Amino acid sequence: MIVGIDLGTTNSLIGAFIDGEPRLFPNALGELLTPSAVSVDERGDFILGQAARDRLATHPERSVATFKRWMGSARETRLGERGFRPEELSALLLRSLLADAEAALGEKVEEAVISVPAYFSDAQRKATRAAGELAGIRVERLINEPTAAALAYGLQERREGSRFLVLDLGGGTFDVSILELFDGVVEVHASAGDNFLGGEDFLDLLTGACCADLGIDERALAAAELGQLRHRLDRVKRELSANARVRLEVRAGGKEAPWEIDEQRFERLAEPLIQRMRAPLERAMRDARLQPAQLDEIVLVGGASRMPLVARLVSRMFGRLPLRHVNPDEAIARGAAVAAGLKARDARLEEVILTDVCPYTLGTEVSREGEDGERRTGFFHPIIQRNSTVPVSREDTFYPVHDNQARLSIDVYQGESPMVERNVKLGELLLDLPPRTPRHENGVKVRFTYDVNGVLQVEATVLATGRTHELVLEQNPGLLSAEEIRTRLAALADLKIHPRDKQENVALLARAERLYEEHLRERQTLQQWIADFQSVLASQDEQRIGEHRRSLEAALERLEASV
Amino acid sequence: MSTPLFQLGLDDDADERSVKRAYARRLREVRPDVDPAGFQHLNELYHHALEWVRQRDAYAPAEPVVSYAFTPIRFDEVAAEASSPPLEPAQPAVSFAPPDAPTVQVAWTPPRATDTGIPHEAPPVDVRWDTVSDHPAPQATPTEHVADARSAFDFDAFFDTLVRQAALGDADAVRDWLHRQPPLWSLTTKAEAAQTLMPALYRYAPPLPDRCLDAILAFFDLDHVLSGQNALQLNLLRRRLHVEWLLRQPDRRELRIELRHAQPPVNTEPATLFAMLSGPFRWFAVLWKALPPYQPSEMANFLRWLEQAKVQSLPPAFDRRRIAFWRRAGDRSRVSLSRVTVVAARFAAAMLLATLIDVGLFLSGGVAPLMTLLLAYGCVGCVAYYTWMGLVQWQDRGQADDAPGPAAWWRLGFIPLLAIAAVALRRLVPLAVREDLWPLVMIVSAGMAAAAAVLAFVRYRHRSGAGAFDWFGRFVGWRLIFLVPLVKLLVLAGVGISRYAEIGAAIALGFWLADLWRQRAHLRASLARAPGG
Repeated sequence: MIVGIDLGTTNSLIGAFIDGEPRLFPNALGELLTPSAVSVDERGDFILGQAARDRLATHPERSVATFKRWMGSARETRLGERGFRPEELSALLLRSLLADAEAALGEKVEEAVISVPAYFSDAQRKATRAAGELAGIRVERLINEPTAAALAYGLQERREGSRFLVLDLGGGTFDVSILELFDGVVEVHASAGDNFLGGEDFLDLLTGACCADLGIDERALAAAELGQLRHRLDRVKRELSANARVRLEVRAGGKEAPWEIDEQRFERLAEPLIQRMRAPLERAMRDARLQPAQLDEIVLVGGASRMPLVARLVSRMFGRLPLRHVNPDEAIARGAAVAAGLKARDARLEEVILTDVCPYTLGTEVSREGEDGERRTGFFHPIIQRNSTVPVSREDTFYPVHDNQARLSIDVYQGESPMVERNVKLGELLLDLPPRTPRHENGVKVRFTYDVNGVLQVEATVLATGRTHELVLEQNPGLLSAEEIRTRLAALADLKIHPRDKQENVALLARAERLYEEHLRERQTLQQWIADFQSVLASQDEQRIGEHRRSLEAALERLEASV
Repeated sequence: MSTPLFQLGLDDDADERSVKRAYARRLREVRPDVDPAGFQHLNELYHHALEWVRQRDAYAPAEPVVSYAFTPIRFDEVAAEASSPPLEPAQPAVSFAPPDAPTVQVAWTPPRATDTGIPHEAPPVDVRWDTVSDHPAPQATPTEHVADARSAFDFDAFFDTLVRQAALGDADAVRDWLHRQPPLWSLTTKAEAAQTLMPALYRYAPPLPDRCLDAILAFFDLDHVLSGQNALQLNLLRRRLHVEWLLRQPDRRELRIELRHAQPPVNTEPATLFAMLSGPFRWFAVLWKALPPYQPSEMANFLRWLEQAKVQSLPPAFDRRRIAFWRRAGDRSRVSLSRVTVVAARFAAAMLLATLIDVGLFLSGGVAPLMTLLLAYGCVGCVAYYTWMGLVQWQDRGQADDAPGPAAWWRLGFIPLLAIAAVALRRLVPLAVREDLWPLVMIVSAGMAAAAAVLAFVRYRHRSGAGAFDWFGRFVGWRLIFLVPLVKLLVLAGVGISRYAEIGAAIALGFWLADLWRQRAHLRASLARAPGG
């Protein structure tokens, strides 16, 4: 069975293509959205999802979230006894998602299609694949998030011959894709994005403004207090989408004061972020060579696109256009499920063909001679231009600078700056050239091949000798080697994860504890409730636990609503 | 005929829709994940076919297919009517390349004649366009708003204000200002503005700090590798505008820092540098400033720094003759009048000092004026060296560089004239002058002939490229065995020249003629260029 997974910054979902339509699987708590958070309890057992999200406020030193933002880097997060790489944290989350899917499907999942931001780099894609391997599944195909959203949306609406722009503002990433649908072909024209712009950044702004207003030093706050404050401000952010003015009782840093924010203030605060969203939109439109009038629709996906600011931005840039909100949280996961169906060659998707693009430019470093005859180095020479339809294979011939040059270095870069120093170096290839050859006869043919799965291959042929060299792009420090993956896989297999059937209890306890931290007045009551529930849990009487859990859940619900 | 449409199995009058349908049909056979090569071929064919159809339809006026209007702002027209007199940016104001270029116009003229202020002195202009929050809710009338903004967008006014804002040097302020321009929110207007911006920047080349230029380019997304800009040219423009901006800043702090980090560094205060280059040219004042040994090279380094940045407009106070003087005085690779005068001035100053000391010493103790004598010999040696180097440089310049005129004829005829003069001296003068002067006349005439011969040789060798006498080095190799007869031959030749200036003159003429033969093509060209020639 192949599943589709939306591995998000804030929330993750899993689904599959069943009976001709994408279906999403609920987690143990019965929800489709599983928060992307990992926590470890005092006994060393791992907790995932909503419970881990709640524990982020109560046990920040043992919990972690937003690790998707660190994918492709070597950063390690300390949880309990040892440090975890972002791939490993993602793998733990994937394992929990897979358990949900297997519970719903009743069969083993072997392979997954995982969605990644369109603007994810080579290293970030490889890290995502490594996470899949660490979770014990095969990940051959990655699908770009906006493409996934469009796939789900387009197939659902069956709109033939239409062009649309998908704007995906998720928790941590911002992506834009322009697509066209005709005769079962889903053709991506262009993608652009910003990997460090998402709902979390808007939350950072709110936190900063709130602390500044009340004279609280944000950096001096205890991690638990800050986690709590952010949790509550996140709700404020959501409420601002519907209300013009939101009030909050802030208790942090030894201060207790009311704080209020209105829509206009939030908009002013968010201005720099909104400005940053302009560039990817403009670039995608230019690369697709389209005028706003040629777009049929603009589709907003991703949780953060619910903010009215986003709709306003779009209408200012594009003029009046039909904006379409699909269910922003689920669209990508549905698309990933469709992609999984495509990968499995599901009979009902026989007619559908998806063509995607390479989101960034790939090329080599060259030197150039100016009109004054001076040679300057460090220029980026594109070989595969961004937004070329993949799979794509292109070649170019390079010549040494001097006659009788003995060696030639081919440096491979990814990026958009005309100068290589501002691009990402992917690797280099040092070629021996035949001796005593004039430079114009000493060419080297370099071929770049970028496949459907986003894997780049570089091949260089020395024309004079016909010898071919292949470049292996694996020496990035942010990547795990195959060896490391094996050892880490074994280490991860030993970790204990709270059993799925107990997760509801764990989540409820974590929530109660978070509320205890947040509330000052009802602390006595909450403490009593927690103690009661713990004693009921100790009785191991499933029926009694179930009843108690439901009543406690209702009580917590009322308490939270009263704030 | 094999049009892309034909290859897709379509007729030549097929429309876009059928191209897409054909593509979709063929795509089922070459799925991207199964047959990458086949897919890439089909995909390229598809794009060619679409392009082909669009081009064909664009030439068929009966069927207007493009419904969206797109009219780029014609900057040339706007600029031509707005700026009077028209600028000629191709002509550098104070230029480096030919030192005797006749242009003297120095100031950077702002694009618009109506523009009175000097760019960096103008106050920041806050444009009266509404701020963001005043806009109606998007659901209401965004279309109207955008339409208004488009029709109202005046690129010239925008460019003017932008340049002034950027000349203030605060990149963040420039970025904010650009963000606050409501017309540029519209994708179409912004794309048009970006298209017009680059030619305007190249054309008017307003002095701007590099950080502000970067901010502008980043805003218009013109700084990426596929933007169609020549990165090398853009880098040069960026550097040039930055340096021109630095020169214009009343506050010279930034200039000082940049000069200290230049390659090679310039440590003189900017104010001093400016003072040395400003004001009318007076030999005495300039030479006085050039006396310290480090000064000419500091000045030359500064000027080279400007030259590397391809600066085309210098501050109006700079004097062209002063620039030329310092450039040559600090250039150690060539002999020039400036350099010789500086050396002479230094010797003169040293002589004066030495004489004063000698006089003092003589008066107090009666010692011979040794220092003055030594310096005098040094002077003579120096003068001889510079004269010789100057001659060599004058003679071995490439023939193609010559501008037609009497100077060129002089240069061409100098060696034969020198040779003939040497022979004439040897032959004619002894008839008229006292006999006891004959040895001296012999030496002078022999010296002239030798000089002519060596000069002709050097001229021939340098002008005919590096390979001209390579055989000589190769020939020497193992044939060192012939060294003794060769030395003897040379000695004989030397003696011969010293006796008979004719030998030297003959050698000189031989090399000279060989050189002319080699340069015949250039010579013919320069003769053709000569007025009336």
